[in-house]
Amino acid sequence: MADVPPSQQSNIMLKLKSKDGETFEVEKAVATQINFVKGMLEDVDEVDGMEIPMGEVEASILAKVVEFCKFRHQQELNQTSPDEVDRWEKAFVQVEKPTLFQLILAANFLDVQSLLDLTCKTVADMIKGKTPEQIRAEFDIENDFTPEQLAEVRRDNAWCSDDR
Amino acid sequence: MAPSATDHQKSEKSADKLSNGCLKDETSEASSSRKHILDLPYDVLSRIFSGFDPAPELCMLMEVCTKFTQVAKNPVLWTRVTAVDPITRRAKEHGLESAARSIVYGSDKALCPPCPTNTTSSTVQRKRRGAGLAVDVITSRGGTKLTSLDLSDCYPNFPRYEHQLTDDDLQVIADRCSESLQVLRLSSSSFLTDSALADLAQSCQQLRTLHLVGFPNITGTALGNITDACPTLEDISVRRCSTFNGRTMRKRLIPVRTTLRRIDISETNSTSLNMNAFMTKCPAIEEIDASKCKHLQIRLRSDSLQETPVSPKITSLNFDNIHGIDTELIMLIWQMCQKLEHFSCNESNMGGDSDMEELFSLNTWPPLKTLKMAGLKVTDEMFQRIFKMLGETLVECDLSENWDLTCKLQLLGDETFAELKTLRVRYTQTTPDTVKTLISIAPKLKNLDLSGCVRIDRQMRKNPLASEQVT
Repeated sequence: MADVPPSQQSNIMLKLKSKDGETFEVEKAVATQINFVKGMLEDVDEVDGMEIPMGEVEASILAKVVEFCKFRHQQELNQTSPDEVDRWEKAFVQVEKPTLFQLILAANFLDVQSLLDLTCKTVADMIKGKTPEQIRAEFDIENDFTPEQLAEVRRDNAWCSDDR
Repeated sequence: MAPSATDHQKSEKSADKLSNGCLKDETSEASSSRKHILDLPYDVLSRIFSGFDPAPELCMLMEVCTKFTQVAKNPVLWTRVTAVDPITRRAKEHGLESAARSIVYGSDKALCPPCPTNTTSSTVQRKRRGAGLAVDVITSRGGTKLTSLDLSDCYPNFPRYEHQLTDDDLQVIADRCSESLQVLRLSSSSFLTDSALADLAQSCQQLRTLHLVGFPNITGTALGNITDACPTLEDISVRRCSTFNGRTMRKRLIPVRTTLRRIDISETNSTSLNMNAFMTKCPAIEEIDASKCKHLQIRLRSDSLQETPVSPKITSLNFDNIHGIDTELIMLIWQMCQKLEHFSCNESNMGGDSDMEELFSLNTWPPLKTLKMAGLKVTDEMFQRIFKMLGETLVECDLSENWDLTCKLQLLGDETFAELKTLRVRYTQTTPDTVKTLISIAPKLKNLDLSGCVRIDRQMRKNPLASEQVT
């Protein structure tokens, strides 16, 4: 990708096809931020207008992924200030949890490392500073320990946790 | 391009979904189901958890559910572990750490408890408490991924046997983590023996940092065995090892002399410290801490250095509370160590006043960022001199218990204490006026300790920087 000048790249368009059949027309330079796409293109010569199926990723999530890649592409071209990137990223991950998790799964499957980093960090921030009970409430997790299992975990961690 | 919330699936959560805590493949997910955190694959959850400290954060996450427990045990999350026991952590949060230390270590009895009879390690049932439990759990989770284990605040002052580290615990560390371990800081224990430490060093040859703090039974022989086995050690501490007398230290350090960067022999019974040897034989040495060695004689001769000219890399020296130090020595050090940034000799026993004046009249000073000279009869003239020579570099300064010091400064030009953040002048004659001047020329000043300054009223003593803002 490095040896092709940006002006030439912008002519090549790819069609990313979601699981439910919707297609997104995207510049090659944007689409190759998705390693999954980049890997596919390596074996192909003629790419203009090519349709690429994006596995199990649904249209609504693919739209977000494309939006993210476009911003990353713009950011590289325009040297966007770190503050602005920060603001944009914060707004970008302001979605409901199920969407966020779908986004993580998509980023993981499509191998978009910077999106995976951002979304994982968002979840980590939601977890940070909470007690186990609060985490269960926040993410709707069932306490599936048997009393013996929980006692064992606590016993193992007695060297760093306060007795509760 | 404002991002939009694209959550279009508003189906109600089904209760049975929650019970399914097992791992799901991301490619075989049900089409329209709402995703749950437990739908994320193991490696993604592990990535989320990688932002947390193993202790106590990961340990707490383990109590959420069984899947979290599995993920949090991933060895890649346990490469660098700092274990702090809950009691020490609470003491630290309340700023009581040093108080807790002095209680236990104040009495000589605590320093020399009897050594228990040795038992064979393999047959002993692992004790499930204290630092031993921490070692067992951490090493079993990190295994050969563990590179750094810091136990220095893990039950550090617990007098009871079952909380302290034993030879068996060292064996466990050696068995499980010997290939990877580079940094090891052990908490104080009265029950470790020289031979167990030697065995540990034999196994863990990658060690770069080894801190043995508060081991009353450790001798110079152990140090020799350790340096023989680990020739790449950079950072050694035997702080508070009360039987360590340092008599053969020079010989013991020979195997590591090219790599040694930092040595800490503070609060030991060391009797001599040969600065010449460090300066000429240890090209990498940066930091020496010999504070609170009551009987220490520091040796430094200028003539031998002139024979073999060197430019020592030493940046930090701590000679607090040492009897055998005088101003002539400090002058030599300041002249030789041109990279010295941190120098401390609080409460050390100096010669007469004239000597001190000679020191302060030196024309070339090292670029000190930290200067601590509490209780050394520093006068206003000397303070003026500090201002002149170190005004641009000084970040932290302690001149407490200098009874004649008023901190009066004559401002000649637009000189300032440009970088000064911390100034301690406890128990001095500092006045409200001099404080005002100091604050006006030190824009970065954050901590100003005026406790015990009788000429300053209580309110200002308590919060000197705030009171200045009001006026």
